[in-house]
Amino acid sequence: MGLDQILALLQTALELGLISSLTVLALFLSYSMLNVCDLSTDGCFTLGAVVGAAVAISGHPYLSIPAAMLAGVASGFITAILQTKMGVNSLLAGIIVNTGLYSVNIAIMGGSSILNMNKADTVFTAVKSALAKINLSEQYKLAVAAAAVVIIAVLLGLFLKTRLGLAIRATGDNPDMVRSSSINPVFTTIIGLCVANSFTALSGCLLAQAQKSVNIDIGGGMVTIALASLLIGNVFLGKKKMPLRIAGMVLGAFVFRLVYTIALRFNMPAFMLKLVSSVIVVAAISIPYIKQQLPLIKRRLESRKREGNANA
Amino acid sequence: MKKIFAFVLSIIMAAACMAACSPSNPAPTSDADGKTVKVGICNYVDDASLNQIVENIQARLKEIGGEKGVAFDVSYDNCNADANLLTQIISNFIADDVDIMIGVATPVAMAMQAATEDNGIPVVFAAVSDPVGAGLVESMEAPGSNVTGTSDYLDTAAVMQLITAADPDVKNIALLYDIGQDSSTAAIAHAKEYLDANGIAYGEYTGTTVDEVTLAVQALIADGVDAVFTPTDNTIMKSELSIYEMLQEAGIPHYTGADSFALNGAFLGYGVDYAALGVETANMAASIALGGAKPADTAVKTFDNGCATINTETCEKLGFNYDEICKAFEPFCTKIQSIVTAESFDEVK
Amino acid sequence: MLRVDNITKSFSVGTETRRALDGVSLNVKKGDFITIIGANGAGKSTLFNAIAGSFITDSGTISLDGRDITLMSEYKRAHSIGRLFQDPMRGSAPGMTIEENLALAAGSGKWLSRVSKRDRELFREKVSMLGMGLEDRFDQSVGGLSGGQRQALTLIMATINPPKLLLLDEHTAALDPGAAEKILRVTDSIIREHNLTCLMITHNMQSALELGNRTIMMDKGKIVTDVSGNERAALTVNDLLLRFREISGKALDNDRMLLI
Repeated sequence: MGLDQILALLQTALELGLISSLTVLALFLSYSMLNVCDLSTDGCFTLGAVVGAAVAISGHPYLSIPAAMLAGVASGFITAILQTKMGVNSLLAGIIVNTGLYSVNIAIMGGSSILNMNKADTVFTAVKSALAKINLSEQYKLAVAAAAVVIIAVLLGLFLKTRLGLAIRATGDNPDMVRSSSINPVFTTIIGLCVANSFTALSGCLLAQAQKSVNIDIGGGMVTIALASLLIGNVFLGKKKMPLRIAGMVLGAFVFRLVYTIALRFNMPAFMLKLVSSVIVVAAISIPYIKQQLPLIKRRLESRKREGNANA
Repeated sequence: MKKIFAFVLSIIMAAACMAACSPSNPAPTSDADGKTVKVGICNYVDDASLNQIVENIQARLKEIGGEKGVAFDVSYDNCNADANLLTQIISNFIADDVDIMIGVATPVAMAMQAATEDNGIPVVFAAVSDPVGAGLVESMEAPGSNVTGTSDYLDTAAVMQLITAADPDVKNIALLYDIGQDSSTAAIAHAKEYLDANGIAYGEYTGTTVDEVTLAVQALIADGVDAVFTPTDNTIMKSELSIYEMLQEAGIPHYTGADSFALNGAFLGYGVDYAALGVETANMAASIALGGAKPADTAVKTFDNGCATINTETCEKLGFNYDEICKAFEPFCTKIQSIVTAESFDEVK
Repeated sequence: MLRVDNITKSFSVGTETRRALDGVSLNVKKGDFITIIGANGAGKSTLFNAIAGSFITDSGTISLDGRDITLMSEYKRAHSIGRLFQDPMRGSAPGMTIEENLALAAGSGKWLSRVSKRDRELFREKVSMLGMGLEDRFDQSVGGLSGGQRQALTLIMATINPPKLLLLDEHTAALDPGAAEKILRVTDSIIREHNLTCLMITHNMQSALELGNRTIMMDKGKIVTDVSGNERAALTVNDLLLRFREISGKALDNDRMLLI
């Protein structure tokens, strides 16, 4: 198998990894920083895809990006209000919004369940023609995805160092302390969830436009995959400073896709891949943990041996 | 640092793995000259109709291979409705240099269309209800690009006629489908047109999962409808085994758009013979891959929906007389066959 | 400075309702340093919660520096009220660095502002006052600090913008004697430096009489004793015990309170 083909496969894994890493960054903000398990991710991802597709089909490919992100903000806002002002538990709030979004998404798609963007201009097609001039048109998907990820990651890194960003981090760490600092944790939760969901929606919008079609299942299972990527990323770069942690998230998403690619090369049937991803996540977390425990295990084994010898 | 190094090392190993393995599907049946044609088939979800199509495609390709002395190297995968996975499967096919791709169901066909925009690998779709509506082809006669295939477009009006033939006094029909299924949209719209034109009342009952479909069926039974209609809807298909007994007990006949429903206990499956569809898809693929036919000029093949499959067990339970029913349906069908309830077509052959 | 007027608060635990605050009135003048003592369950921490706004009282009014804060939410009151808890972990965010914690507490600047050099200098100045060497560890996460260090940090955070009222809820109780003494010393010097008005709950009867200018004893949700000036100067620990027995009709047999 030639280098060209390996590179092509790596490129697909990288493209998909980059696009889904936006959702991972969203979960990084909502789960790792704000300590909220946001189960509305699947629905919000689909919302971004659907809104982006609808706007692109109506002839405005560039507007589809801010439109999708705004839709994400709205979704995050509702999830946040439910859990801060309406007394709904945060897990339940995510589930409620997720369920409601199913109907909203179908309604946006005009009652049908598939939208085809083959004839429509998307952000990707626009970039493709621009890149054709410098002969890089094969890489257009990669270019757009990479650009989006870099911009969002940098913005996120800068944001988390601002006062508001610090307040959001503290809200997940110690809400009492946030109140003592005269900041309203309700406000920070709302902002945090709005921003996070806007990333998720952007992720959906890009995937839909990259594959030129949207169907209602496009977001299914996204939250699990993103959490798995988050955990993998944490294993590599979890303990470092903020910019590296963010890079770790993107890395985790890419590794996840890479695992799928390899498994597919080994001819594993597609339904086994979910098991593969579970195994990878377990390995990613347990191997360092067990390595840490190894000295203690060794000592216990030795002492047991000594006792055995003494009794013999 | 160590971790980064380990990671880079594993990427290199991964790349090496990918280079080393090549898909090892059942060894291509190489006869005579040993020309090999690589085919990539991707299915959308597991259900009786779609699986039936895939089996028939593979069987027919093998036959053609034997006839023409060519080996078809077939890679098959099923993406289980996961969009990301679908992209990776297709990219895998392209990396393997397939000569032709076959996509079963609309989402797969659309993804293949997008992936082959630049490299022009021919795509043959199977069981897409509305190729023009889905944007896959410009017109049914002249698709216009590298995509063509077979369509299981359902003649809804014909099914409606069967309903009135069996029960001239029918007053209220339940339309049971999944609003999220692309294959149902056009058919349900046509059904409503027909029913409006003929002054028959109808109600819509929808569900997106097996549980919801079961609840919908309980609702329509409570509403006392006279008959139920379902087009080629994958979700209802998956749920049929759970609902057919309820409908039998309530005495409500279930008219559907595919024989696989009848296999799973529905009263009637009227529509495309999916086995034939599979065979035709394989024929089309072979003619493009071997015979030099161009997808742009190859018309999308639709099927004469005329085959009615009646489930005799259900027929009895509903109190219909099989022969009388056959006589009533005869004017509208090209073929009538019977079937009993089972889980797969293999069991009833 | 602080005027608490006949506040009440009841809590229902299961089917019972308990009156935690039963008509408490208190008038705190600017510059007062009041020590508060009482048996467990007397209502001392509940009083602090009421003043700080952790809950809204059932009846009565609270006003701070002339402003009615009875119905104000906790985070808004935190502008003017600083608070330290017995649990040293409560006052700071363990996942963030010392500098980041201070930045949040300092509360300067708009939402999208970052920590400026001037801010950092200010933080360094305040923290070196502790003499714990924390000013060299600004980039370390707070989670790695000891209880005493975290409480010291919380103290700085609470007073970096001198509050109108400082509430200290047994803030040295969970520390070892060495750290406790240090924290008390720093507390004292900060209060003196900024002339802060302070309420301090303590279980140490000796400290209660030695520190500050006024002592309050609470029992069953009410204030039962309020001494200051000469009367207070003449009191001994034993006197307090006797007085308590008279008022509440039961012996004060909480061992902890007798330990010096």
